Amino acid sequence: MDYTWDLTVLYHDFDDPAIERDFARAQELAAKAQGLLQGDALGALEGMTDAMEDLQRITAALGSFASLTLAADATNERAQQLMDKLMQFSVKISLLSSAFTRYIGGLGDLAVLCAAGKPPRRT
Amino acid sequence: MDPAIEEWMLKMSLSGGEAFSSLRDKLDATLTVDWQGESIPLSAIRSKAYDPDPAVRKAAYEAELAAYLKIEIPMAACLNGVKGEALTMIEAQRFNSVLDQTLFNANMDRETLEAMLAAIRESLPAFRRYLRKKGELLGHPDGLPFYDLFAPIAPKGYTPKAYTVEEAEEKLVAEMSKFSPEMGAFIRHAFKNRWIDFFPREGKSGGAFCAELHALNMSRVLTNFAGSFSDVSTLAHELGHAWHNRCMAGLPFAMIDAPMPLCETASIFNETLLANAAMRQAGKAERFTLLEGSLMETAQCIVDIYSRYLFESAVIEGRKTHTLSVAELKELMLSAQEESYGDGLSKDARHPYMWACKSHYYYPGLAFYNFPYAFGQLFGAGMYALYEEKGAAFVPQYNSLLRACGSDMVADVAASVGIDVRSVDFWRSSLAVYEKQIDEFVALADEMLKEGK
Repeated sequence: MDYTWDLTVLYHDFDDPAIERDFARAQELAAKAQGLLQGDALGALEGMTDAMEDLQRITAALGSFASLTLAADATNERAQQLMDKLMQFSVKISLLSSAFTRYIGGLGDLAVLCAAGKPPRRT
Repeated sequence: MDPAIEEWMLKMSLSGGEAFSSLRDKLDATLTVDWQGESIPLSAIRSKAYDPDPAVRKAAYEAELAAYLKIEIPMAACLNGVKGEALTMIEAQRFNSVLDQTLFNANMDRETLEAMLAAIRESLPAFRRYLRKKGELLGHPDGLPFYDLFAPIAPKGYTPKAYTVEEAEEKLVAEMSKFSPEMGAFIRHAFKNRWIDFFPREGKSGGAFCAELHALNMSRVLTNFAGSFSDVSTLAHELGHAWHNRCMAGLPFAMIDAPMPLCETASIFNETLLANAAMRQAGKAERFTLLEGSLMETAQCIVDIYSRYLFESAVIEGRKTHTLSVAELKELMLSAQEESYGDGLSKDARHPYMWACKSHYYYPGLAFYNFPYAFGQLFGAGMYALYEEKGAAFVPQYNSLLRACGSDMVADVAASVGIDVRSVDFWRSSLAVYEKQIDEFVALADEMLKEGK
């Protein structure tokens, strides 16, 4: 029996090209999401919900890989570097999340409007 | 918050509250304690609170208190920094208080918190009775000294069973399968598929936790297994979190973030399942040891947590007007311990530096990370009481409740299984379980004292 956990389900190691690729994808998604709240309301809601879901999926994988590696080996510098990078990036995600929350707060009754098939109107 | 300032506040927090919190962790991790001519880490000295030798426990406590002198000033600065930032943040976010912000983020109302705290206050005399009796067993007639809170006590001649990882696996699979075969199979899967990092090693963090890998429908558990029943119980606890994660499989990320008070539901439930099964199967000596272990941990979750809640409330109030000095922080901590532990704790041996010891006070944006532990303990016990009443019919209700934890208010989640968390009576009924354990512990302890065991 192996008494250590398996993190390769996330990334193979810190040289795994998927790490850079996922981080770039997260940055791309965040940049795209910033423009999503400008269009029509239903499109914005749908687009932002999908974008935030994708962002959380990617950053959760990156964050879990860095933090779990550090938990098992506090001296792992590569994990610490990735963690620092994600901390900086988390500011962008927090801002997007706040903007989305404010946006939803400014819409009318979503259930009524969506059921009627009309796009929600901003109030 | 005004969007124009939000970005700057978040960025400044990285060099403000986050930086203070990070400094606190570094001070804690690098502090060494003078111990018998050697320098040893703080975590090593604190673990001596569990040493069977009373002289070691007392000397370790004294060495620990002496060591805090080396870091008390920067630690106080960190605490003032984190709480000062919290007060600035709530002003920008237009909350009336830090507690209101915490409750908002926890999907919990003040009525629920007040009901739980009222029941806890009523139960304190019972916990003090347990603490005094433990003190009596250890030769302290005037209350338990802080350094003996975690002292192991067992009847003479009784040696607790030691478990291997494989034995722990078999025990957990067997006990959890009685609740639900699906949960038993899930635990087997976690052991067999390297979800768990078991043993301590250099560079690995202490304690235990469970991390969710939601997109993969998996979890990972870190523990520092040493073979005691308590270590098996820790595995049950962490695998309870993993089961909670499993119940949320397939939900969007926006619906999986269970608020702090509900986070501990499945973990405490699993612990309670294991402890009750073990107590049913135990002989008298083992039962006494298991009872003591359960009460020692519950007293932390109720009595110590209440002291932390009182302390943090006082620090935030004080921080509104000034920077609190080391002396003030120590005084506030002793006063909180006095109010919570009362005569259960010896007046001559309390712990004025618990504010430096516990990292929870230093989490930026996450104040009052204390009452959720009491909530989890008592809510988990309430869930177990429902299971005892309803049997197998409760299992699907329980799993549905866990699935709903991230998408509803705490009171509504509880109401889905018929629990009214705004009622003091619910909390009283959970605490009554432990008060009954205290009665049994005291009776067995009196027998031991009488028989000179």
